[in-house]
Amino acid sequence: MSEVIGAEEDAFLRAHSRVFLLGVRADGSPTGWPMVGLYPGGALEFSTYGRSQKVRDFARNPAAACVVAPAGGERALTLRGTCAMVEGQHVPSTGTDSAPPDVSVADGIAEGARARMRAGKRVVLRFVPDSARFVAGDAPRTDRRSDG
Amino acid sequence: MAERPDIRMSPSEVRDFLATQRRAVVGALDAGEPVGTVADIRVVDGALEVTLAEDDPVRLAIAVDDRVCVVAEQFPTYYEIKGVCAHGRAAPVDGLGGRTFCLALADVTSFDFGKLPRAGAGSGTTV
Repeated sequence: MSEVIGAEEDAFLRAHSRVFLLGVRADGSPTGWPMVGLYPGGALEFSTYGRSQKVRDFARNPAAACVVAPAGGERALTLRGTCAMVEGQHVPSTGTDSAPPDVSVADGIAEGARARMRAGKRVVLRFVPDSARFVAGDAPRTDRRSDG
Repeated sequence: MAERPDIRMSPSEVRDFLATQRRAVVGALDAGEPVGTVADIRVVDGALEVTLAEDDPVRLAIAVDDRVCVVAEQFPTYYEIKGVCAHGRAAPVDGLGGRTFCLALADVTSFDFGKLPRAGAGSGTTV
């Protein structure tokens, strides 16, 4: 844990892997990607294709944010920080033995992803937070305006 | 190299998917750096209407720089994964610095894993 990631944030990050990674496009506008975020402690890691747009975006500008938002959850954790590709690392620090408990993967998909990691086609993006804040989560809010 | 399948949604598929979503992540800029939050969404006249929480500091960021993105995603099972990221400028509905803005669905990226082949090239099950 750290000054940014306290015990409450640490427990939340270990329990939830549904993460929206936010970055900046070449024109300076914000963009985002729903991802599976893996938390080895202190940082979030994402496995992605080395040729993906997000890898190019973070190489150009590492400024990033994450919203950790479990589906239907009462709370979400917003984080600000920086994100960069880890040179030479193709497998997340958490390893490849199993998917996070809140992720259901179809037969054969996990094996295919592991093979692409071994082949070096996938890279690891690491997000290091410098601030954290809880907000209301994915669950519909009770103070929502009427649709009518 | 095998050609990757096109799993993007059509504009009508994007609208239909977003119409099923009540909450989404909003990305904005604070001094040029991304910030995020979670907000209510609904589709109104083919655009997204987004309502932030009363005390959400992202409201202030959007009042200074109206460039935003809205990201919605579902992941019930692997082949039901769908996601949309809409980009654009926030058009205030209830005044500058208000809770609610509209976002046109003109600059959108999307994916629908239901369009993936179930086996062979591009399915995700082979290298």
